[in-house]
Amino acid sequence: MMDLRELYQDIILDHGRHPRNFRCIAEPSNIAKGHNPLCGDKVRVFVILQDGRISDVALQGSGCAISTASASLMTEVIKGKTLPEADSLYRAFHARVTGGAEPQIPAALEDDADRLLPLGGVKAYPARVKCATLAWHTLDAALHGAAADAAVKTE
Amino acid sequence: MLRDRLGITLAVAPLGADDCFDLAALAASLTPRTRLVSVTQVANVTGEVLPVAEIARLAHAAGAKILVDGCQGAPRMPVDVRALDCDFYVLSGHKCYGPTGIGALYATRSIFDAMPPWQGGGDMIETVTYEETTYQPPPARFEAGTPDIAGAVGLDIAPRFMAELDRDAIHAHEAALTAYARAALGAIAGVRLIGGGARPVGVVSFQVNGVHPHDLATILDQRGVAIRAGHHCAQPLMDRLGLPATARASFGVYSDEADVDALVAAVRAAQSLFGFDGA
Repeated sequence: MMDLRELYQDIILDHGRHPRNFRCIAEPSNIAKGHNPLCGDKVRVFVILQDGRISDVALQGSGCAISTASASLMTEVIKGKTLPEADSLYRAFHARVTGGAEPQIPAALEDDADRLLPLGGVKAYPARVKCATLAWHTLDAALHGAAADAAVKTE
Repeated sequence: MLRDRLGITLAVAPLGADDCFDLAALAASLTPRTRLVSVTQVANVTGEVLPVAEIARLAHAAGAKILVDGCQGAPRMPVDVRALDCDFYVLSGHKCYGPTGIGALYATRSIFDAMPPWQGGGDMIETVTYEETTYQPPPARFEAGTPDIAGAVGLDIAPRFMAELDRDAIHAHEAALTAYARAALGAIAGVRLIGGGARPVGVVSFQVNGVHPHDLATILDQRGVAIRAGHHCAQPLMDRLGLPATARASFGVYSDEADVDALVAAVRAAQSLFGFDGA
């Protein structure tokens, strides 16, 4: 049995309780909705892309501590990044929480990737991985989705 | 699904202000055009026991048939379909200590006799000629093809198992345990019990302030307490309650007060982990 504090670290509890960048962006350039049908967690991701860079990102929704904290930390590391940088972080994060082989991270992004380390504990709880990935899948859809306002489901 | 297939209009009897079943609201929603009243015997989210016999009287007075979902009721209380005076009663095997993937549909003889087959296959046929096909009488008419024989054998044993334990005793045990759990959980600051009515049985749904049901379920699981977190296949009820999900503890014949005590201790531990010590 794994210590629950590995999963619920202080930073997770803090971001779960006080998520950053939880607001609407009135005129986003990109937006997507995400939904975990099994839990009822719902999230909307708003992005403003300017000159290939994410100048602002925000979320709205409701979820458990894991999904809220993951979404909050995501907005913090993703703001100001270029699209390829955001994609790198997405791949690194996804590999970390699903236990896949972690891709090489550009040196400039290592600090950001490290900020996401606390969520790595979710790997030991297969049923909770989708909580941690919901916001990221939704961000991915917002940045690359074919249709505007695409809906993402994790089931 | 029936709405899409048959073009029926679905009327939903609203819950009462206490999040409980409201007999007057159901009576008010009946009209001369009501064909079928479909109710659960025991609510799967809250454990509330519905007054099925009274609902049947109302339904029949309105000229409607009544279907009772006994998936939660059949394993938890003695069932006398004649006393309930229901036209249909359904139950599922795996909730009655039986096998998965099999269940039962009861209907009165006159309804069964009037019902056409829903599926063709071996053993539901009586005679076949080029001119005409006739069908077996119920229930064989509704059991086309090679059945789930192993499942049926298991489903036959399940009620014997419950009868050996005594179904009145099962009901008394689960109602007492549910009351014990509601009292113990309800005594924790920051815990809200959901619905339940006068004498709930089998489950208790609850919210813990500041701890999402899915976080709670993970924390409880780590302490050996298995609950269900989610919408319990009752999304309209969650919308009505204004909740994305609830935590729900369920009891069976094998559960006892020590299990409830472990649940209560685990809920307190979750509150402590999340920094809500009885706040």
